[in-house]
Amino acid sequence: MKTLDTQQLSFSFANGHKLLHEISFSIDQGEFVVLSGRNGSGKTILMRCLKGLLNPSSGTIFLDGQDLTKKPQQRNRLIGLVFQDADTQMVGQTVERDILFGLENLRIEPKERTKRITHVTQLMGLLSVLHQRPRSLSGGERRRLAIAGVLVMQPRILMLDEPFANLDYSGIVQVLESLVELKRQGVTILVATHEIEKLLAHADSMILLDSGRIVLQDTPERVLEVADEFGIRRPMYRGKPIPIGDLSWLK
Amino acid sequence: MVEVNLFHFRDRNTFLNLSHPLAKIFTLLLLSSLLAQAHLLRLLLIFGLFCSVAISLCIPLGQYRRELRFFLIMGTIIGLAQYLNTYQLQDTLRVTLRFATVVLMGILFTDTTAPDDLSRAIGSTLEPIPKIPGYRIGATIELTLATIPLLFDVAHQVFEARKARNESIWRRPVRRIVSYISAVFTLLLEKAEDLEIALKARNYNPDAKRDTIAFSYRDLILVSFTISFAVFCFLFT
Repeated sequence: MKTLDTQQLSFSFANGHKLLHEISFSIDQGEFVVLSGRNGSGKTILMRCLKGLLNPSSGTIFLDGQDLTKKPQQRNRLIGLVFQDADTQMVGQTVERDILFGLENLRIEPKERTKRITHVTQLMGLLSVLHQRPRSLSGGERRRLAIAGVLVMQPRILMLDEPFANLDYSGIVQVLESLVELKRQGVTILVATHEIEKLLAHADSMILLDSGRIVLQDTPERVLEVADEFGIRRPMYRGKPIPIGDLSWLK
Repeated sequence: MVEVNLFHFRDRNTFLNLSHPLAKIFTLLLLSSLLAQAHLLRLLLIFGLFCSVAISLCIPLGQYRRELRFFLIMGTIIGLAQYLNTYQLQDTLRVTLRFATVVLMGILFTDTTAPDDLSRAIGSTLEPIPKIPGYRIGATIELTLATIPLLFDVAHQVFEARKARNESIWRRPVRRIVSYISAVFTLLLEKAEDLEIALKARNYNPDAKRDTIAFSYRDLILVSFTISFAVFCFLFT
């Protein structure tokens, strides 16, 4: 079953400058998709269009078979997005309050809130820092908090924009472990990144974006065959490509 | 990242931390009103009370040394101005002590009150009043408070960036200050825009009901003690 299906999606600025050109792709339920492309290829704009933060100029967006193109608020509710700069997304004075923020906005019942917060903090390994201030957390913990804040709203799809940006090794491993766990639990995930060597081993499919156009959507093996031409360097070791199964920062 | 120590909440389980923010505001307002036109004895009593609370809460004044210097200079200027105006030592002491009490009150209040508890308490108190969007006001205060660290971060970031490029403090100071302020505001506006998008992404609804802490027996004790103390001060000093 297709969770997300976009057809001929385009986006232009008011001055007519076109950033996305007839984007068509689909994501199945529980699928882990990597969206890659060089800087400025349109990854962030595409995610913001899907989320409902930007209005596409043309095309359609289907979520669970329902046409939500003209319903950005509903898309905003059903699609979760973790921003590249996780700090921007934090508004609560404590980790718990920050996670609670989205639930209060959605007017979720207090009983249900407690249940969801407990579940998501356990899942993201944030139980021990629940009463700490978000700004006192490490980079990896802050990114996991940003994911938790989005995940607690139970979106149909979780999108992450450059989740490894500005993180050290342990931060990257923490985030990666969380993503793999989410995948195991059946969450549909779309990750925009150009650091493919960190997570490609866990991806079901890969979308390659270039100058606002989809070049290819296929298995990571197939996409990597052409990725070099579009600014994505296939990870090599001593002149030989590293097998996809080894492309992970998890042991 | 810049951490502001003074006027900063510390999450603990003390009596005052667990008291309702509105009960603490009541205490502050009542004791503040006693400060106006107070005699030295009354001032000493109130200052002594706050000092003992500060000691019992183990306020880390050592950590606040840097920021406290500012208030020390302010206090000295205020005291000096009063002395030059009246040439009376008792008056000078009174004014300086009043200033110190106000600063100490501020430190104690912020040390024991989470900003979002405060804004949420204000929001839920105002909500039942017709035509006043209580939750919206509370949410606005909460967001404003959340952006304060952002302002410090941005100011520090711009300052460090300029320092790294060997900007001289003394060369064209006015121009330098204007350009510094405009750089801070430009960056701040960009961050504010990011925050707006991020809030939208988290389905921000300013009118949504926010959780707030409930009143408890502690608030009754705090308010009763404050009233008794105020009556005592009023009658005997």
